[in-house]
Amino acid sequence: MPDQTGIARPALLDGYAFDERYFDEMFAARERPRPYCEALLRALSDLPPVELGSLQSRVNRALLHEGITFTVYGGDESIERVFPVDCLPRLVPASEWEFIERGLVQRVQALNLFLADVYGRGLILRDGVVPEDLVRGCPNYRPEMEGVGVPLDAYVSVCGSDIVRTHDGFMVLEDNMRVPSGVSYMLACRQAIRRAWPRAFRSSRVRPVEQYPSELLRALQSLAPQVESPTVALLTPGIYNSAYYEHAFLASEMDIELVRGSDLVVRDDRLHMRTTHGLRPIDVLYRRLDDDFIDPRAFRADSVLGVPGLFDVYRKGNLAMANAPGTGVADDKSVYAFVPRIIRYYLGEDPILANVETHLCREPAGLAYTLEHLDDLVVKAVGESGGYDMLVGRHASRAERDAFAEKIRARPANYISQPTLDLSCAPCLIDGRLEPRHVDLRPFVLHGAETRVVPGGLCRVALRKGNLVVNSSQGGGAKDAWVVEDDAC
Amino acid sequence: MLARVADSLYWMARYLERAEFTARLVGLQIQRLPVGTAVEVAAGWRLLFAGIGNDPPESESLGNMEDDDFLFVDGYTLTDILTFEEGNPAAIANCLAAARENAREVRSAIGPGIWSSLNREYLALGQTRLVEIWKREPELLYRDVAEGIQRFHGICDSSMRRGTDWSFMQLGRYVERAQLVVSMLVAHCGDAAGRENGGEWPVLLRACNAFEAYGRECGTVFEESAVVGLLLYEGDLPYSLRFCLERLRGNLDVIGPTPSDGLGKRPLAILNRLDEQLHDCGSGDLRQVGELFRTFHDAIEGSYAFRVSDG
Repeated sequence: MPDQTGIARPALLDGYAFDERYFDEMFAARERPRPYCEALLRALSDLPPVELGSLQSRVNRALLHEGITFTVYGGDESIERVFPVDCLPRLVPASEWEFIERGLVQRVQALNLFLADVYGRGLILRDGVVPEDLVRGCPNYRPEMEGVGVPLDAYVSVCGSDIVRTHDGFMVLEDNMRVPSGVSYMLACRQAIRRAWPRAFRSSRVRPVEQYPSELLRALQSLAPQVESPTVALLTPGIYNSAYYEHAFLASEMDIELVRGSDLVVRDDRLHMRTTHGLRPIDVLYRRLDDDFIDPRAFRADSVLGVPGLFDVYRKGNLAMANAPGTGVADDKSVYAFVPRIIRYYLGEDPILANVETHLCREPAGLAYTLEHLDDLVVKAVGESGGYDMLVGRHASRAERDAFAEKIRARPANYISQPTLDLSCAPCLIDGRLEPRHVDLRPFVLHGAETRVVPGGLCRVALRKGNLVVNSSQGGGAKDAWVVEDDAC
Repeated sequence: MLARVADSLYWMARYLERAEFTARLVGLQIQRLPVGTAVEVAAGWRLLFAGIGNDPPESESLGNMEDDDFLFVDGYTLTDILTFEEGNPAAIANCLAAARENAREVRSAIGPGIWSSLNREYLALGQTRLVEIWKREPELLYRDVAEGIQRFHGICDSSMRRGTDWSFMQLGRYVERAQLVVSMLVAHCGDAAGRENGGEWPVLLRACNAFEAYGRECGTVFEESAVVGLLLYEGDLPYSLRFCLERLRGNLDVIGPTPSDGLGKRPLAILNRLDEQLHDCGSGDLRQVGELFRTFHDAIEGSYAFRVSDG
């Protein structure tokens, strides 16, 4: 039966648990779809229920055959799992996207200026805008980088920022400026989901994401402006790394060599790879290895994944590297609290994208507030990522909260807290029914000679009912994110 | 190209060649279980194990095989050893797993289509339980495995650029094939029982996709000298040593000698010696030919720096 929007309502929308506490990405109100979602809903209503079940299994099978898996670590075990992808995309209208895009470009430019400053003259620290001890004491601050020249001052060439939405609008939850991953899942999701909804994809006029690898290559090449056609290689920890699929995928798409530490050697102040026909120099290294592991001489001595002498080559300017060592200081969860001030300091502009209110436990007031409001807050360790070592107070038991409070008191500087956000929801196909699940969005920003954002990103979804943690290591999955024209239908 | 990538491509192709050949041999052997005499079936297993260089677990079980009662039961055990046995590196499933592991290393070099076609074959075999298929046409499994690997090669053939990536794969494929064929010939020629019986040559010819060619060239009587001659010299047959040598030479040309030292010439020098050896080769010289192929393999590894020392 047609409803007021003129679309026949798919039967499986009956009983969709619209919850007005959360912004719903598909419905403006109960049974009232947002206009730019109409094409997708029409396709959904055209599909016989039996097809819907097979759609999800077709999507899963394609991902399995293509080996699109990730590794979950827990205890002594590591398990290879297919990355769970929900077969309904999340739609982002172009007007909202352009807002996000402007906000991200602003943020990445400001944070690159911040990095050049803290490893250079340190003006922002001298001016007291960001506390010096917070920066220099950050576990990811690399004193080895002080005074090192970085091509184009592009410290962060690849950034994946996590954006969430509540009824108050979009906010950046965190920035990933070391070795962000997930872009291959974005591209794999796109392929699988476009196949599932060919007509809706066309009529929604979805902006393409497939250009990401070529834009990445261009950004990487731009880091070696003095070389006419620079040799770029991607450094991977190897096939047992949880993101190996992505490393192989990107190297293949960019048609560059995928190298491991053991393939590389330093000779005559240059980095070389061992080929069947001798050593060949590398100009730009896209490393997918944490700072700690890239060079046992400069950083962790027990690393067997990196290359002895690599950092020396870098420091002498004979190699460009993305991202530069030491960028972790810009995505530190304490420094995060200062990003709005960092943007104003360098760009003289108000931040376009808001930050989430953040309490620093290193400050007495922040610590007291955090401990008093544990049941309403999310507490995170500053040096961790991937959803490890965090507490969602609202969902924790009293004993868990007490235990966490002890940890905070023991090392207050290691923790920050934020209010529990009412993350927006999007409908997911769960056991043949549509159910709302919380989502975020990780767009990928590329920064070299220019700054670009591929329209869309990896939409992460907390597949467990009521769960607010979307990380794949914590049982999260993904959705394709379609940036669609506002008037598409 | 990266030496490690060349190494992985080479070994991926070797493992696939071995898996395909073993699958065909096991499939043929299973087809004989309902029709062959107990003596023939036992000889078939013996030659199969000897030919692929795999020791049968208990020699007495092959003795038992000459008794009808044990034919299927022992056939199941031996099939399992050759297909799934974890401790047997030559088992088909282990060869496929090793090929896939090597393919994972070079995913970016071979591209997603080629990788996923191999991944599919690996997953399909991994989901198969011998106990479930043993009572209904188990030979179909071996046909599927062999066809799956051929499909993989077909995808490579129609999609890969004919550069060094391709050529290192071909080196692995034809080195493995030549060694398997030589080893099968050595086993068959040295097996008095098999020779007297005269019944094992057709199986070998079928495994080498040369049965029909033999019929056309040599008629219906199977003689050692004719079979050996065909599998050594008939350059149009994909499993003949002549064919393998030509492919090895062509691909070595594409790769080119290593610039750094004289070592790079060695694989070519060994191919020339193999050529000479094959000019005048009887079944008595087969072991020496096999030895030369092993030397060729060592020369490939040495020349193209597969094993990293200090760079």
